[in-house]
Amino acid sequence: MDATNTEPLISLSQLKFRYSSESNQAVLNIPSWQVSAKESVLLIGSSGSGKSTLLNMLSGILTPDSGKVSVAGHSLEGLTNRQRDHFRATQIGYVAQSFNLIPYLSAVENIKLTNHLARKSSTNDDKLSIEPLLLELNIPKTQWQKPVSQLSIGQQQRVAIARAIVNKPKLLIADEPTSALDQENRDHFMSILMDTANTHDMTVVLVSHDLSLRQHFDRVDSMSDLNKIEGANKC
Amino acid sequence: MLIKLASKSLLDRKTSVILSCIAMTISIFVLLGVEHIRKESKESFSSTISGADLIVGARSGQLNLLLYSVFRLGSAVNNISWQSYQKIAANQTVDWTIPISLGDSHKGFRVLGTTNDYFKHFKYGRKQALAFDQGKEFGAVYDVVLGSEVAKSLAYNLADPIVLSHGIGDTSFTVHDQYPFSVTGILAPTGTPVDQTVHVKLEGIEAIHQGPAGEQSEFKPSSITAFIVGLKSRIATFRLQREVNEMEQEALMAILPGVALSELWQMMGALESTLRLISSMVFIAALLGLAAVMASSIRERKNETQLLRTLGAPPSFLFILFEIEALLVCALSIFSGVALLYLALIIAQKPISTQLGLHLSANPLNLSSLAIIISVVVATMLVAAFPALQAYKQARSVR
Repeated sequence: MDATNTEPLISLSQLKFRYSSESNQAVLNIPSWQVSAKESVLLIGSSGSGKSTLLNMLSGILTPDSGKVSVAGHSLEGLTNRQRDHFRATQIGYVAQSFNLIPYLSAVENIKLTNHLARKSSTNDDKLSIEPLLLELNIPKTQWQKPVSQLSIGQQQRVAIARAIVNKPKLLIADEPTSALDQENRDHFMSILMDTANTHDMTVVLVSHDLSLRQHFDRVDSMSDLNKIEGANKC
Repeated sequence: MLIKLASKSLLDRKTSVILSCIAMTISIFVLLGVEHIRKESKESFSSTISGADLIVGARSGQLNLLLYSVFRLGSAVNNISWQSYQKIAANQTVDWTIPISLGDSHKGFRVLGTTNDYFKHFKYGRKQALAFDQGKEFGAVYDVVLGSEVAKSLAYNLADPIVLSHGIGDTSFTVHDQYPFSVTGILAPTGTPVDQTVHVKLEGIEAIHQGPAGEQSEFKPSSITAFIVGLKSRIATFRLQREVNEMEQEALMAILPGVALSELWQMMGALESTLRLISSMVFIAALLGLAAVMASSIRERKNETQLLRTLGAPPSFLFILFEIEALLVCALSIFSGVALLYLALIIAQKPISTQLGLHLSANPLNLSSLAIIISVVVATMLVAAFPALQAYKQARSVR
């Protein structure tokens, strides 16, 4: 993957997307956007600005109507469904606002499930060991085998980080990951997230409406600058 | 991993899963139980008599004759005169005969009058002869040989005096206390109606009926109910059958036990298919219950589906997950259904054997029940495919 070190890790061009079931209103219209490898980007946007759609585009859950999406050396619009699922399992780490974990599985089982889903290409070298990772993320050993639904919200979000990075993805995507946390937990979460991403050489794209998170990032982009849809804020 | 995920997911929804498990368990219990009883009763009927070429009785239906002579079910329409019996028994193609005289009972068990030929020639199962557990065959007129079940449930031992009454029924009015019979032999268990039979000599039957008047030598039988015939060569079967059927002195009938049995199966066939149909319906209902539980869980598991998709699980993963969950429920139900059946058989074996004369083996597992279990699994997979497909579709539409 030498190529990804020189090329941008994310590269969008002439990206257009609309949900077919909705009106003719485009949801995304992004002429061009790049993120370099190991860069951390805070994407600011209000709800309905198309940021979640963009994240789904980057992770290959959605494909554009037209234009190019290139992530970690893969042109996503050219992959089959199965290839995109596999790409997502191996190359993307995802932390959402809530429901990041299967509630009835333990922290360790949740992480193993992620391993399992990425199993095809991952040898032991390209995934992290679970125990050191959980220790690194400050999850007490007593909580490892409990169903995650019994953990505190803060702990759950940290297990979510562990789960997101265990397969050593190139890109870590986070969608409002702090909105369910209080101020203290938010700062703690952010520093752990950025430290871990840094340690493991990951690119980070985090969307939020909370500008106070900017201190943690290399770069801050605004959805409204990025997305050239007419009559913005329409989803 | 998938199995772990499926089983933990089922555990997470304990109540509804346990309820559908119970429904499936009961239906599998019924399905296997009906099949087992069907098979065992057929086998039990078929093994009741073996090695007999013809059964001769008064002219009626062949099924009627078979049922009363061999299975002690129902009663004869008429008797056979001793002369006709002697005449047929003397036929040169005949190897042996067993006379049977029915119509009396002792404490609810049928009394069968016969000769020592009964113990010599009567065969059951795979041509097994009767064996004595204790004692020996008849000697004197008042000797009695008991079936194993009779001896056991009435707690009779060798040389015990017993009183036989005229007529069928537990309490008969014409009880002759002055003619005590005595137990001379007890047969080994056979798993056939023989176990429930009190055997006495033909002369003994006469003694019950004639009363105290005559001497022992005067108890000459004048008629019998039916007799079983063994031939020297099977080739003569149809000729002798025709001869008996065409006898002019008396309206007699000779039947081939195998043919009569197959007529019985034909009659039972309709009943069997009805039972099978009902038990399959019960199973289908339980299966649809399971599918309904699964289908209704799809909506509440939407977050889970979305998460799995985000983690890179292909939609087929969801399909397989749902199928595995259904199969786990199915496997658990099969296990508990079979266990329940074992338990029920162990408990019910004795009462069924004494009251219906039907011997059920305690092991319900055989090739045909295996076939049923396999079809249960296949049916579960097919029915679960509907909610699984729904989960698959939901997974595809996640965005």
